Amino acid sequence: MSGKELKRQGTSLLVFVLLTIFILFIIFPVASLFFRITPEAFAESIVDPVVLDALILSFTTAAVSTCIVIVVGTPLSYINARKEYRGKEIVDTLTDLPIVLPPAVAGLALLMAFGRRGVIGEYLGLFGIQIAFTTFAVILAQVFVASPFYIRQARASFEAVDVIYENAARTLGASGFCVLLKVTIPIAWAGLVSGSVLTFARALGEFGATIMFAGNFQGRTQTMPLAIYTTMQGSMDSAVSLAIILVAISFAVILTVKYVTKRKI
Amino acid sequence: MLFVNVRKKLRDFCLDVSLSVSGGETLVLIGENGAGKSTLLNLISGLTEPDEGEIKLGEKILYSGSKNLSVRSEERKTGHLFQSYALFPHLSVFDNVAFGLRCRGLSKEETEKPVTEQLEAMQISELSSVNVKSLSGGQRQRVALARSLILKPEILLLDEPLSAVDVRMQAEMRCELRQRIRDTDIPCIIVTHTLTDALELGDRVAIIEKGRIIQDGRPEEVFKNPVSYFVARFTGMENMFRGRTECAGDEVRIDIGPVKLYAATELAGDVIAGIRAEEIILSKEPIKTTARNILKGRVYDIQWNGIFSRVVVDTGVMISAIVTRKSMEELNLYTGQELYVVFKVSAVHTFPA
Amino acid sequence: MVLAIAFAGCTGTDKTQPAEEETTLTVFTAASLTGAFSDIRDAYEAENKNVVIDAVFDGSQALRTQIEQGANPDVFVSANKKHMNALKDEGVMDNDSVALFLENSLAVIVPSDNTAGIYNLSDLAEPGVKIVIGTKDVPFGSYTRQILDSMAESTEYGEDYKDAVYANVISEETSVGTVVPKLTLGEADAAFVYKSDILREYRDRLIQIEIPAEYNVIAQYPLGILADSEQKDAAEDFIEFIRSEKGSSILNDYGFDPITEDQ
Repeated sequence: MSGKELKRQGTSLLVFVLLTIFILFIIFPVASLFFRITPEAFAESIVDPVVLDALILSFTTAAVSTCIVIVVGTPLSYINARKEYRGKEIVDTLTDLPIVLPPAVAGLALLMAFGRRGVIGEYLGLFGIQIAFTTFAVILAQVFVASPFYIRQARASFEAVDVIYENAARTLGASGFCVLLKVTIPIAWAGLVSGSVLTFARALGEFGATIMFAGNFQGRTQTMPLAIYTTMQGSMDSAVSLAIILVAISFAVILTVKYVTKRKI
Repeated sequence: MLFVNVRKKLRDFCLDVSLSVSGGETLVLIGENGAGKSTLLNLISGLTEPDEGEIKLGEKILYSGSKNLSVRSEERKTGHLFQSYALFPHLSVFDNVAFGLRCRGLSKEETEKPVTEQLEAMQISELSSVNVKSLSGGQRQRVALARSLILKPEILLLDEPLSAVDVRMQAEMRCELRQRIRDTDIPCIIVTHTLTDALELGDRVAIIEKGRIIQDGRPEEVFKNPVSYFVARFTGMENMFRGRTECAGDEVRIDIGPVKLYAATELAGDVIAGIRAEEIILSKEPIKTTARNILKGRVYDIQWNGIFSRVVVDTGVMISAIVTRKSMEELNLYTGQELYVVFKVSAVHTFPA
Repeated sequence: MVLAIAFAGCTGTDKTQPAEEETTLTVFTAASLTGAFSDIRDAYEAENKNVVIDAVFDGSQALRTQIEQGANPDVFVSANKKHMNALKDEGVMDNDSVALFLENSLAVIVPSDNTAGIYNLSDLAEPGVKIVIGTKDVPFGSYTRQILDSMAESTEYGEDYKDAVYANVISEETSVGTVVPKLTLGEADAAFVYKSDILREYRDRLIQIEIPAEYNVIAQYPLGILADSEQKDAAEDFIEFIRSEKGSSILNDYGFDPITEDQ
């Protein structure tokens, strides 16, 4: 074998080894979860009230948060995709901010704003409105950290929709709103769906901001990640069961996104 | 009667257009890319707004700068066909054609009949449930037309309607298009940069350059008397030479270097002279003729396209002449042969340089 | 670093005093005693220059497991009796040396500005009061539940009191570190914590409300010498120091209740 050939084979081998190590590094911890519990123990912990409450709370809050993000984020990302306006750069930066902001910082910030002695929270308290340490706080925290996932994806998807379709629709008699609903959104659909799914997953997995701003109370603010953190100290089985459920959901999310984006029109 | 008088500042120049099109008349708008053709269509269909001016359809005002009035695009009842047809990729042929009706509030059932009829009229009934992505260029054009015509528009605007159609199909589609437009009896503006479209589809031809209409008339007119170098080139004039006018007694001659041409022109100084290839007569001997331009030369090249031949003669400058097959047989030409190139003074068109 | 110690050892033995060699005592201590025992170690070493205390802090459960796996400290200080008893049963401890030396109990803390006006335990049941407790799996959380249960059984407070208090809980924490900020930020009005959790640096921001002994949970801390220790005398001396006035005052300072030897 020539020197060059040897070198090329050596490089391929190195790359292969590195890739394998990396993939094993991802697989092993996740797989370990499954080894750590028997199916019977899993079935038992599923019906444990702590686990059930966390499941129901997580799913409902994540669903509500995702809906809020979609309803508010869709027009916002559409405007950013199509129109130029003063201050657009700033708006873009702000909507992206939660993605890089550490969740604990987000939680603290929310507390400073909406807590009992918070900038806004104080005034709301006068009307008897309490935000921190409620289920609503869970939703707020999730909306805060998960919104950029949808907004960025939605904007990119809208930008990818050729304006010519919207123009054609208008000349055929469609009003602005009709165009959005009947043409732009259907064409951008794959991207919007994958953005929503990612947002849902991020909301589901939210921990840092939630524990700081909403606290930890079973059935009210103890979402699945918080339940894992709490039960870990006592019943490892419950923690592992919750973790396994979240792993399964994560897989489902990834597969959904792949499937939807592959079937792009 | 569509009446357009608009001005709009564009990036490189100012669009300043004034034209009118009567019901049943087709105006073909010709120009190079970037001249403002598509912008003009957008102004008429309401997708963009002029800076000032007026657009009227009969008595109905679509836009008036002075009155600060602008009818929204979706209310203008213009049928605007875009260059690549812009068929909605997420809908079938049926749903594409039904789109406008659905926007008006008709239910799915209510659209069944009109859409089926329209598809039949366009002879694409069999494509009804097909997704538009698998259609050929010609089929897409029909769908796009069906989609617009079903709404009974009052103005028809077609942007390069045949550019996406396969070359072999173009002649047939052009014929079809002409017929369908005829049937609608509304003012129609077609934008194109293909000469054949202009000649076959247009009742009138308007040429737009850098945002302004530089010539407007019947196709034959424009063909016979192009007002500018650009129009001349567009109509297929091949023999173009730069030169200088000089007075020779009562006559005007144009010095194009190796050769001087006799022309009738009011221009003076630097000009461009052009001669249509089909107005040139070739002769082996000097013939008795009233034509003033007689140039001697040698055959440089002969190209035959199956219907006629193009003979390129080196007279000091290269001149192309178009000769019928019959004449070719009579002349029996070969490369290198000495030849006389003959054309009238009236065949020499001059344009400002 | 190693070389320096070696040289120090050498020069040490070169010096005049031949009799006292340096003794190293390994002490496994429950993590909740980290602050107190670090101070005790420093104080003892200051008085006994030839003794070095190697203090290992960890959860009592973890320390017990290490001992069972063969680790050989000289002294074991546990945060509860369960682990010590297990080791006693296994014969690992010098059973006579094992003694309960410390007590810890819970208290209610409120922020020093006390805007919710909580002055005694019954105020905790007032509607609108926001309380923070530990989760049921951490000691200070499980003890809180025990306390509320015994208050519920009493005639003074009753079941309604317990229900009202639970209704006022806004969050359950896994460590006391996240409890105190909630009080100082004004998000919560009161919390149940170990007295020893009220660190010195918090004391000016918090007010402590006593829980009567009849309801309070007394956690008792045992310590003892390992059977296989080779430095039993030195270990005894150290334990004596811990239980002396000096040791007791340090422990008191940290919020614990030392049990004197005649108790």
